[in-house]
This record gives sequence, C-alpha cells and structure tokens, in this order.
Amino acid sequence: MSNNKSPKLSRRKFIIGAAAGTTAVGLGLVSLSSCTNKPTWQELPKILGKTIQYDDFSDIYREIWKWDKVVKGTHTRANCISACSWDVYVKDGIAWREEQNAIYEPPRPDVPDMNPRGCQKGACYTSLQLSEARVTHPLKRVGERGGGGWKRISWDEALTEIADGLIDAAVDQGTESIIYDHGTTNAGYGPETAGDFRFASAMKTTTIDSWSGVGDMPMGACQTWGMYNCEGTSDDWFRSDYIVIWVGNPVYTRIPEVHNMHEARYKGAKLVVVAPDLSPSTVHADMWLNIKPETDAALGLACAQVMIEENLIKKDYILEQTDLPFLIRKDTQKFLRQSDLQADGVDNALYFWDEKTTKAVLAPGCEGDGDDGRSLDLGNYKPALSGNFQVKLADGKTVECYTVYDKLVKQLNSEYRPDQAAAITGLNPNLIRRFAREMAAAPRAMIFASWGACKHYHSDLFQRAMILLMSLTGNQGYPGGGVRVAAWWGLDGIDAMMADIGLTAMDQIKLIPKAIRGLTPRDFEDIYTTVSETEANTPLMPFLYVHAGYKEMWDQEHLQDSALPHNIAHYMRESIDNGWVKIHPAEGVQPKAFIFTGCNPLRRWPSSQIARDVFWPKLDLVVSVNFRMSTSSLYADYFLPIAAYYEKVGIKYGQSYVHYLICSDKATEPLGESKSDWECFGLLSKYVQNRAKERNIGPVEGFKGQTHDLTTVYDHHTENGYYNPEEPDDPIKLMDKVFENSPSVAANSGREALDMGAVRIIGPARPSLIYQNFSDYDPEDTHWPHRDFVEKKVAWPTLTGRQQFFIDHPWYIDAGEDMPVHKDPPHFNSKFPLRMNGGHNRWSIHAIWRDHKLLLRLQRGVPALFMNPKDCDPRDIKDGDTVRVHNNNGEFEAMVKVAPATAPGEVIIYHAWEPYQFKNWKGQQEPVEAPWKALHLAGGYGQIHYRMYYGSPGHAPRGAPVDVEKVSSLLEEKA
Amino acid sequence: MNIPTKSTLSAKQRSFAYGLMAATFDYPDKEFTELIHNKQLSDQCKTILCDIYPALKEDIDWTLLTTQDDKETLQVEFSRLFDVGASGPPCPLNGGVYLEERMQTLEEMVRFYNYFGLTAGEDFEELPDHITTQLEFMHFLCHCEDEHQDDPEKANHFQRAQRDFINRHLGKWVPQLNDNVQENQAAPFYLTLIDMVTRYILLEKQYVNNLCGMITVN
Repeated sequence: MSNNKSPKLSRRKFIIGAAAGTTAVGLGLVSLSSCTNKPTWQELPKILGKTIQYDDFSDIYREIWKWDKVVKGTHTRANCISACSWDVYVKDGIAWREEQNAIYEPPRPDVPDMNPRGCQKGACYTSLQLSEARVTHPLKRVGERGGGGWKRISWDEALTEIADGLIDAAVDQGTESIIYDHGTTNAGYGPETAGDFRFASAMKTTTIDSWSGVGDMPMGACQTWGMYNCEGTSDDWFRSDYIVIWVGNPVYTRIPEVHNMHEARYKGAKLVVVAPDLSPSTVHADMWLNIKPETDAALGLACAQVMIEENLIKKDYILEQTDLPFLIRKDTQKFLRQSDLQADGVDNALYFWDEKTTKAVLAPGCEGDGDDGRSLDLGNYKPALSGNFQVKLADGKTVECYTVYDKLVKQLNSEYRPDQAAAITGLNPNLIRRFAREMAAAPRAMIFASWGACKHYHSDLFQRAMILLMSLTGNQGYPGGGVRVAAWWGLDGIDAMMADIGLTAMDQIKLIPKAIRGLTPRDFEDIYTTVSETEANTPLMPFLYVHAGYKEMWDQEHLQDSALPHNIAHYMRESIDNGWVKIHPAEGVQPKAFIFTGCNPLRRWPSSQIARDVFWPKLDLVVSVNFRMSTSSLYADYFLPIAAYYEKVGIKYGQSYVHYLICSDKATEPLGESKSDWECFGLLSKYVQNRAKERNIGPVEGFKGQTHDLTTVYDHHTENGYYNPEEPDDPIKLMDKVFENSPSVAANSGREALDMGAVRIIGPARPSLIYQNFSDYDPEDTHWPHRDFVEKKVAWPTLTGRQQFFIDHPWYIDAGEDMPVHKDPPHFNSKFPLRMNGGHNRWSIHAIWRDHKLLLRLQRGVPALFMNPKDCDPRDIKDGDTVRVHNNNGEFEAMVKVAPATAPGEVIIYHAWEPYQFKNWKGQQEPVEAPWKALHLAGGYGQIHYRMYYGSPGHAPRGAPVDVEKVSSLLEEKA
Repeated sequence: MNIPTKSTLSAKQRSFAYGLMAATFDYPDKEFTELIHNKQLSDQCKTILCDIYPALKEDIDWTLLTTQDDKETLQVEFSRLFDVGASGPPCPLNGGVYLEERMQTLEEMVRFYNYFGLTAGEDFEELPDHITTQLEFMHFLCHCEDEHQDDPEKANHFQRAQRDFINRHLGKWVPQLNDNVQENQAAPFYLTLIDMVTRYILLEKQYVNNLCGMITVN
C-alpha cells in the first residue's frame, strides 16, 4: 500500500541513519478516510487510546462489514461467449465479491427469463484478479527468453525501450514487420480494446486475424451463406420443438444459456445430442446419437436422403431460398452461366428452369441478375426443382442441364442411404431414419453447432450438411429454427473504436447510389472487403505457414487431402499469386517485433513448439500486454501489466444470446502499477511518436510499401488530441461516442451505460465486420437470425443469392467438394490408434482461470485427459495414472481419468491448460499438427474470398492421431 | 533463549524493528542496493533486532545480509522469488496465499486495520496481506503500545492485538515463506533476510503469548 508521501522512501528512514529510539510512522496504511477529521498517524494512537477495547480477534468481527460501493461489472475481455452483469462489492479499494445480477426482462411472457446470468468463473474473478499470478509492474526480461529472469522497470523505461524497438523494426523492415495479435474474438466494443486497435492502425502494423486461426470460423456457413452469423437470443431456443446439439457441449460452454434448452423440454420439445462421447450435455437429452468422430457429414447427408426420399421436405422454401433449382450443365458440371448463353454475358448470372415459360431464366437475386442481386422475389417464375432441360448456348450448341437438386439426389441415393451411412457413422440405420423423420416433422427444428464444429478438418462439410437439413425442412430464418453457431449485436457507434472507419472519401461517394436504393448484404460484404484491404490484416494460418516455420510441418504428405491433385504448397502459391490470401508482411520481409494482448500464442497455436523454436528467434522484440503471466508472456522480452476487468471501464463484446449489451464499470484502481489497455496503448503510441521525433526518424515503409510517418502516430491515435488516454475519464469519453451513435441500444452515454450495467437492445443496428445477422430486432420478441432473407426476400450474399450447396469453384470440383459430401480426414488411416479430441471446458475461459486454485479444486487439479476403459485396460492404465500422449510430432504427459463416457478410440483433453502446467512445459498442443484445408485459401468466386474476420483457413486440432502409454501410476507417485 | 514474560521489552524498539523489517522488502533499486553493499542494511538489522533479542546474534549469519551482487542480480532474484512465475511466483509475499482462504485472510486484514483506524487507501500498491503491510501494522500496534506505556491497561489492548495478529497471520505463514525460499534455493541475501524475519517473528510470538496468554487460534 502506498500513499502520496512515497512510503518507499519513508521506509528507508528505518535503515538510513535512524536510531532505534526514533519512531517513524506514516507508511503504507493511512488513517480511515471515513473519520470526520482525518487524524495523522501521530494523532491516531492518542485517539485510539480513548476508545479502544480489544480483548481478542473476535472483536474485529463485531463491526458490521459495510461496502463502500457496489458497481456493475463484467469480464470485458475474458473472451467468454456469454455476457453477464455482476454487482461488484467494493471496500477499502478492493473488489471482494461479485453477485449475479437479475435485471434482465424477458421480451415476452411466454419465454423463460434470463435471471440471473453468470457462471462459477465470473463468480470468483475477484479472487483471480488478486491472485499471485497477477503481475503488477512492468517487467523486462533478463537472460534467455523463457529462462525466468525478469526485473521490474518503470513505465517510462519500458515504453521508451519498446518504442525504440518498434521504430528499429519499422526502419529496418517497414511497419508491417511489427506483428500485433489480439487473439480471436477477444475484442470488446469499447475502450478496453480500442486502444490497441488504434495503436495498430496508427502504426500500420500487421494485424493477425486469428478468428479462423483458432478454428472458430464456420467455413461451411461462409461457403453456403456468404456469412456466418447465425444465432439469436438464447430464449429463442425455447421456441424450438426439436433441438439438436451437434458438435457442441453447451452444458459446459453456454452455462447462462443452456437452461432454455432444458426448459423447452417442459413444453414438449425434444432434445437430441449427436456426439461420440456421453458428454455432460447428453445426460439431459431425450436421444443420443453416439456417432463415430468426424463422420457427421455422412449422418447429415443420410438424413437428407431420407427426407427427400420420403418427401418430408418444404419445397416452396427450397425453391426460393436455396440454389437447388439452379441449372448445371451436364457437360461441364458447372452452373449454366450467362456467359454460356450470350457472347457478352457475365459469369455471375445464373439460371433456373421456369416451368411456366419452359425456359431457362436468369435467377433473380443472383450476383449478376442485372439488379445488383438484391431480391429473391420470384415474381411469376415457377422454378423447376428437378428435370432434364435442353439449353441453347451462344455458340449455337445445345447442352443438357439438370438441377442442383437432381445432382444432390443422385449423390444421396448412391452414397448416403442410411445403410451406407451406418457403415461410416456407426449408427443404426433405423436410428438415422428416425432422427431424420423427427427433425422433418417438428414444426420448428434447430441445430446448435458450437465453435467446436469448426475445429475438425472437414468441419465445413459438417456444416454444409447441417445447413442442408435446415433448408430442406424450411427452418433457417424462423424462430426456434435453423443452424445456430453464434452472432453478435451490432452497434453503430462502434466506429468510434477506430480513428477512422477505413473507407476513403471516394469509397464513400461510390456508396451513395447503393445507399439510396438500400444496401444489401452483398453490398455490405463489399464494404467489409474494402475496409479489410486498407490495413495489413493477415489470417493466422497462412501467416504461420509463411513466416513462422510451419511450412515444413504442413507440407508433409500425411497431412494432405488425398482427393486434391496437389500439395498445400501449390495452393498457397496460387492463392498468394492471385491475391486471394493476404500475407503481411510480404514474403521475404522479416517479422521483427511481436506485440500481443489478450491472447496466448504459445498455448494456443498448434504445435506451439514450432512457434517457440522457429518464429520467436526471428523476432528482435516480443511484448506481452496482460494482467497475468501466461506461457507466452514467460517467453516475452517485456511485460506490460494491464488493469484487471474490475479495474477499468469497458463494453463486453455483444454475443446475441441476451437482449442486452453488458458494460463494466471501474470498481477499483488498477493494482500496483498496472494501467488500463486504453492508457497503455495510448502511451505506446505517444512514446513512438516522441522517440521518432527525438531520433529524427524520417518516413518509413508502411502498409503495402507506402511511406508512413512515425512522428504522427499519437496524433492519429488520439484524433489530433481529441482523446488523451492519460486522463482518467478519457475511456468514458470514448464510450460516450459509442453510445451517442448507437440508436439500437437504450443508453445514450457512457456513464448511463455503466450505471445500467446491462443496456437493453431496442432495435436493429447496421451490419459490421463482425455483425451480419440480417434480422430485424423486435424488443417484444425473441431474436433469431436470417429473417430478412425469408421475410423480406433479401438475397443472400452468395454467388447464387441463395443458400448455396453447389460450389463450382475449380478447387472445390478437384477436391470432390462441389456438393456437400462426407470425406475422411487426412489422419483417418494414421498408424497412431487413438484420436485426441477436446473442447472448451467448464472450469476456465481459455487459459484464464485455468490455474486458479478455487477452480482446480473442482477437477483433478492437474492437466487430465479422459479415456475409455477399453483403451486403458490393454495399456495397463488405471485412473490417476500419468501417461505420455505422443505421435511423431510431439508429446506431453498428463493424468488419466478413466471414463466410460468417453468413446473408445478417443482421448479427450479439455481446452487450454497452460503448457507450464505440464512436465517440462510440454503442453497439449505439442502433438497437434492441426492440418487445414487448401480449399480455404480459395478466392475469386462469389462468397469464396477472404476479408478480415471472414473466410480463411482454420486449423483442425480435433482428431489428432496419438498413442498413449503409461508413465507412472498414482500409487507409485504417492510412494 | 529466555523470552520475557512481562512487558520488559521496549515497545518503541519493537515498533522500530517492525518498520525496519518492512523496509527490507523494498524492491532493490539503486539506493537500496547501496544500502546492502555498504552494510548499512545488515548493520542496522543486526543492531536493532539483536538489541531486542540477543540470541539472534548467533542464530543468523549477518555477513550474508551484505552482498556485492549487483543491482540487476538482486532485482532478478527478487522478481524470481517474489514477483513472477508460472501460476505466480514460488515465494509470494502475500500471506493469504499460504493460508486456507485468501479472500478471508484479506478480509481479516482489513478488519484488523479498520478496527485500529487504518485503511489501505485507494492508491495502494501492496495488498493488505502483503508482508510489508503486515509488518507495518505491527509497527503501528507497537507504536500505540508505546504511546500508552504509562497506562498498562490501555497498552494491553494493543499487546493483545499484536498477539492475535502474529498468531493468526505472520507467525503462521512467514515460516512457510521461509521453507519456500529454501526449497527454491534463494540467493544467500534473501535466504538470510527471510530467515531473519522468520526467527524474529517466532520470538515475538513467544513474547506476546507470554505477555497476554495464549489464545486458541483457529
């Protein structure tokens, strides 16, 4: 504890010169501020002498414990999917406890309310932020990286040295050689994140786009819909009649939301779980399909076969909302295009067969329909779903066409009948039929597929199959229906997070005509692509491939898709050359500096030993900005301590589960010398600018070879002084701007929002880079995705303008994935007999809380993996034994929990143990090669393209082939 | 050694000793390092503490409280032991970490401080259970005792508080801290420093227990 009199210097009096008889008081503790006439230390003993009565320690407990204040808080950058408002109780400058708020009003009387919200992690954050893992002083590495040698330095020293390092990197290799990583969706909507965004933008750093890099990109949704936001409020789940949890475990991962699924059962809904293991979500299910891992697409397609064969499909919906009636040329096996029919025709104008006119007609809503592909309104057209059609081409030849639907049916009938799928999935064919029939018969069916459904090699195929089911049954776009992964709340004022919105004046002028006739989802996607290309955003996997030493691993033969004619190196080359994938810094430019906040690359990146051993040594400067010492931080050069969640203001990113945006007020001052993110990154920009001036640094190479002036970084960051990040109220000033410009929420200012804690959503917002749910918001209803498409007949942002199941991109055709199919992953025939899976766990949010003692008490207390007795017995493994998990790529040791709930052949290790929690710091990622699909590098085709936060390769950590051997038994260890 | 059973030790001296020990946990900046190098810290500790408990003269190798390790070496060792590490440093200086429930310990700290008219204030750097804070609280209690040396009844309130605070906190966890620094092969300076504080606290524990009578410590 300190006071303004610098206790450190006062204390030294005891050592320097003072004689024993001298009493020096007035150090860290100060007299109670609540005393009317605040006594000095010298006066206090006399005052106490008049009143003090102390017999034993029970006396101190007689006083009623009174809180100094209670504020509304949350965990703004914990990267937890839920958003929960907490009352945070403060006394004597410490946040002691938090209590779930119960302030959420249900939108309508016939759905469950959301009170209270919160989980056991949130309920103990007060203790986590005071735990010994907290770092409270700027640190500088001494000795080797990762050697454990640190010393405290002042903020001034740290910022000066880091600024000089960043300037050196920029001078040497350009500003793109500075790599900034904020993790996956680990970004809030306010000052807790805006500081680092502004810093990166002002510096023109390379920004790692980790969204798909962590395996969180639903690529199947991107391929099918041209977008991936697909969720509503979780009370909308209650309106479903048939809820399928498919590659997810919401009992662990959606703690505040999952009750809606369970409560739906009380009104007659059926809850079905599709999972290899008897997951904790399964125990509440009415039916469990214990599928073989990674065969989910086969199950989905078999269900589609049953639905179509038994005519359980919604034909009107299919004709309007999907590409199934679109025509395919039989000779080329590609869409019939206008360029086929007319000499001056375009490639993105596509056709269906109109039964009324018996002609191929241009499909309204497709990208090249001549009206900007805006509407799905079929007018007088009556598309044929099936049939063979003769079409005359521009060159006079006649070709035969059939429909996507026919292609699908042919494929389903030949490869995915339930008997055939049974051999792949291990499920009884009758069970598959029953599942398909029940799903089709349900008035409203939904599939809850979590982010985990993006982490398998062929996750996109799973998702395409799932979306197919929801389309065939007419569920997508309706309450209680459709595939659900996630969505965010839009917030128009979020632009304030950046100093500029990324569009040039010319870009904005070009938008005016479109804005006048109404921007479509496809227009928005064009805007995002433009914005994305104004800065050095680069997707993580390609970055690691090009710059971080991963190429050697991922080029290996056993990690390739055998259906493709080439190695991934070939596709990478083609994608870079075509400008499809964005690589920053460019090939040949050396990354020089790495600054990361809110993420933990050496814990999270696959085979993180490669990053540590190959990428790290390339870097002259590694800076971690965090409130705790993560594994990655332990390998940094500098550590800048950041205020914990209750020590700063912020806006939690708004996942759409709850009808509110959750804000966090500042409960206490930052501990020790830590600072808010807003101040820290503001200072970093300031120091770069000042040091650049002091060192007479001229223009350096910036984004894409343009020159960049480092002497204006802080001016850009602060909008020429509009903000002053060192001012205590500056973050609220930013929040004011956010809320003043956000008519979709109930608060009009930052302070009002902070006092509310939970700010009601009251209307729709415009789409943004992360928000594209395309649904109106009605405050008196639940919320569900994709209403605009089915209610307003707005065209989907795909080539066809529809939910598109046929993708005739040449790479997709080569891979045999032009239609949804089941494919075995590359590791299918691996010699290693077990498959390692996992998922987010119940006891932490990624690595945060992972080593918290309170939560470790609820588990084994050490990294543990789950194995079936059938796999343990032949290996002589007993519960509690330590085993070595290994393959040719790496290994780690962990305790085994013998669990019959685990599928035979499967090893489950839940998410996010810190490598330092394992022997020799070898973490669970070491054996994980995590190959990824070359197809995800494709571009130049309608919805198949990259932009920031969309459409790039996610790695596939699931299903890693391993073997397990016993190292020691629990009894031996005890002995 | 024979620990006095009456209030024979100077409360003023004891107060000073606690203030002195609190000061020894400062981060070793340039000035602090000089105090180590030029033996001022060692001499002062030896003089003050041994004057109160002479047995410490023999129990501690006072020469090890002087080292010529440079500032950076001391800083790195301080950070390694007390500041930073995977899941926290190996030898945290926060007492609550060693006891059953951290937040309960912190609450009791604040209750103690508040009861005696003190608070951590808004801009604290160290938490209420930090060794510096706790030693400074003992420094304050002894100072209050000294202020009332002419009124034994009043002085006794502060003595009992010392007894409870040592028995329930410093006397409980500082020995564990001592074990930790030994296990982690701390540099001789910090080994000796923690050993010195531990021995002093344990002697104090006996003294205040003799003075006020043992209580049942739960």
